[in-house]
Amino acid sequence: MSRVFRKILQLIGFLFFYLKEVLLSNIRIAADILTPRHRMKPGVIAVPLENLTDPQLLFLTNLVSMTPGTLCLDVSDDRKVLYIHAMYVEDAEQLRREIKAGFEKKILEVF
Amino acid sequence: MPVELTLIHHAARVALLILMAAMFLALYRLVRGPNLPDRVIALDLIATLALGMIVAYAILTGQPVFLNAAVILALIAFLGTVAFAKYIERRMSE
Amino acid sequence: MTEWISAALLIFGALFMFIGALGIVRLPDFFTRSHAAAKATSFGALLMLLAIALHFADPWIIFESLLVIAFIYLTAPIASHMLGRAAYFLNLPMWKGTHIDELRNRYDMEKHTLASGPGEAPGLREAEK
Repeated sequence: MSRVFRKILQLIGFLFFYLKEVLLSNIRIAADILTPRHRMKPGVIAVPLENLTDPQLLFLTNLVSMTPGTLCLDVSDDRKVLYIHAMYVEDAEQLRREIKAGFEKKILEVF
Repeated sequence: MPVELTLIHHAARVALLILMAAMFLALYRLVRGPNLPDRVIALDLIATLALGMIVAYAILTGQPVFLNAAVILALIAFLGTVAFAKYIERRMSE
Repeated sequence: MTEWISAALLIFGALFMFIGALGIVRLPDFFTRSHAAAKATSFGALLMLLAIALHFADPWIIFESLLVIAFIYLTAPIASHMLGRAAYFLNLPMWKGTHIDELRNRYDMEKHTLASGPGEAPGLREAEK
């Protein structure tokens, strides 16, 4: 019983996290569109993935697509690498780390 | 019958005006291209803008039935975009 | 009070959709444009649908608008993924500021498969020519 309860709490927490990311992403993209100069530094980077189930992969790609500056392009056929297009790639390694340690860890915890 | 105009009606009118301006921008991208995927995104955007217009119109007229049209529009816009993407990819390999 | 919130949601939703349209016109290449299309416009739709749910405050309308929100948020990333993939096969030019592309040469242009690492794609040699 308590496990179900904890799961529900985790899901609600995830929902709020998702909403926060969506809000942030929209403010940032609006700022970038409305200011006259393009300050972006776009690029396509590959992010290695753990073994994810289908729903986990769906939520991860969804989260990545809806957060500031990143957009999923494709997942490799053996599902080991996720290719994302990012608007602000200052440091590819750091972005990779952020996605792995932030989103992927969170997804693995909740689902 | 003239409905008395309240704040929400004015807001809906302003929203419709903004969406109309956005529609012109999307049309510009649809006409200019320069590539097929750019045009498909513009079409997708036009469908979403039309969804917003339907919502604003439903509020303006006080008829929530229009929301059903918005549901259908969201469904069809997604299917259209996916079909276009598949078509572009398929056409490449021929 | 509800009326004020609903009106504000309506106008902000329309503004975000406008920002998305402006982004589609202003941003320099297909991939950055699809950022604007995927995020800003679906957020605008979310705000407007919340406005209608709040305005009518009817259980069925609330349910229906939440359903549309969930649908849009599930499908917008899928649509942009499919289009981005198609654009990559079309070899669309990227903006000159694009300084890193780890997807280059990973697609098999013949079989339309995607490798996970360099040198694994069977069609790699054709693609490099």
